[in-house]
Amino acid sequence: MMAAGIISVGLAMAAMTAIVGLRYLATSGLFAWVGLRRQPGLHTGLGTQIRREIGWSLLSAGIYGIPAGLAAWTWQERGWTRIYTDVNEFPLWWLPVSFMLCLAVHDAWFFWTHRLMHHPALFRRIHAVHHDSRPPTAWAAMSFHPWEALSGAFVIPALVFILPLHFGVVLAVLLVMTIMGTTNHMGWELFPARLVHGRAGRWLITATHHQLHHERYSCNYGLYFRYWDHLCGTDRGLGSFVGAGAGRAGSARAGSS
Amino acid sequence: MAALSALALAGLAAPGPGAAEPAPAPARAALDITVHGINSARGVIRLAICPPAAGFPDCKGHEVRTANLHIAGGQAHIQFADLPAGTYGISVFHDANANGKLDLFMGIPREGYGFSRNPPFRPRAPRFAEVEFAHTGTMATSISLRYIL
Repeated sequence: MMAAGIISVGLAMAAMTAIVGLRYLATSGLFAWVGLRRQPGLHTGLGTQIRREIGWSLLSAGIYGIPAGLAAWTWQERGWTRIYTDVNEFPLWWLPVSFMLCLAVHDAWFFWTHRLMHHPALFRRIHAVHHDSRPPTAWAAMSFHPWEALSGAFVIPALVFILPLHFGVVLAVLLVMTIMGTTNHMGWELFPARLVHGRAGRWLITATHHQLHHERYSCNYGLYFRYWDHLCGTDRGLGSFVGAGAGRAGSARAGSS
Repeated sequence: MAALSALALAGLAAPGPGAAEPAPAPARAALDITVHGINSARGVIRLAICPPAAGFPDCKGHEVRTANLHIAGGQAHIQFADLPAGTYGISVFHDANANGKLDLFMGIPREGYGFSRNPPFRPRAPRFAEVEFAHTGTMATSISLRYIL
């Protein structure tokens, strides 16, 4: 009985690893392909780096699969999540509010753990893996050291036990998380300039904003929103993709901080 | 095989020759089913009453009773007048586009669905043990539909 339980938890983790891995390959593959169509030289000279990015990302899929599999198994066998399906079970305003709350919690967790990982000791041992991408590509979406992957792996699986979340909200949060994680690293801006440079862009993190983090290291730490960076005085504004090739050469001087 | 075990169970449920009860359970009784929470009047409600080992939740075989229910005021209703006593699970879905099947997106139902005993939402179809009920006499049951996508 005990052994059967362990096997079924293990199977759930393996299934989630496969789903996360395939999701990564599909999403990063799609944006890498679109990027190359727009700009045929986007990945020139980055073959070795991209292979490394894919390797770390698939390893991360195995890490993400652990809490995701545990949550899925608990839900499937014990029914212990707070996920609901009837939109009227809670007031309708809870749908957008819970969605934003999930992103805000994930963003806050990411911002502070990310800043912690820029501490020189942790940076060298853990976070350097992610910054080895110079410049990052769409394949760097999950290119993290296993310890860093683990630090972020528990957030969404924990939230489904804490907050009552509509099933559609869970899917939307996972979708935004997957797309932003990929597009913020892919080396070109997905969103229209009006949004990026407009009022919304002052609060939302886009590829143009995150690019500067990978150039300068000690600024623009956020994940979805800029307010933590604004509050902490670590927001250095938007980066640029002009002469991304030159940035690649120039980044050799950039150290960790 | 499925039919055999269903017959065996039906045999178990029927009153035995040496039963000591003063009033033996009737061999057949009425079952009244109300489906509620239907979100539109489009299409039809498809329902199946499955004995054990009838391949729940898809419910196949000659032991299975099926019905198509008319939707009125967000509800649908049917009465089976002489259902043999026994253990059953009910599987129901809202075939809004009337194509004869529960439409899925990546394995997730795109049309409303429900089961007897209204099991909570989980990322899988319920097992027979989670929906089964004993039909021993005239009874009424109510199933609420769940819409996910």
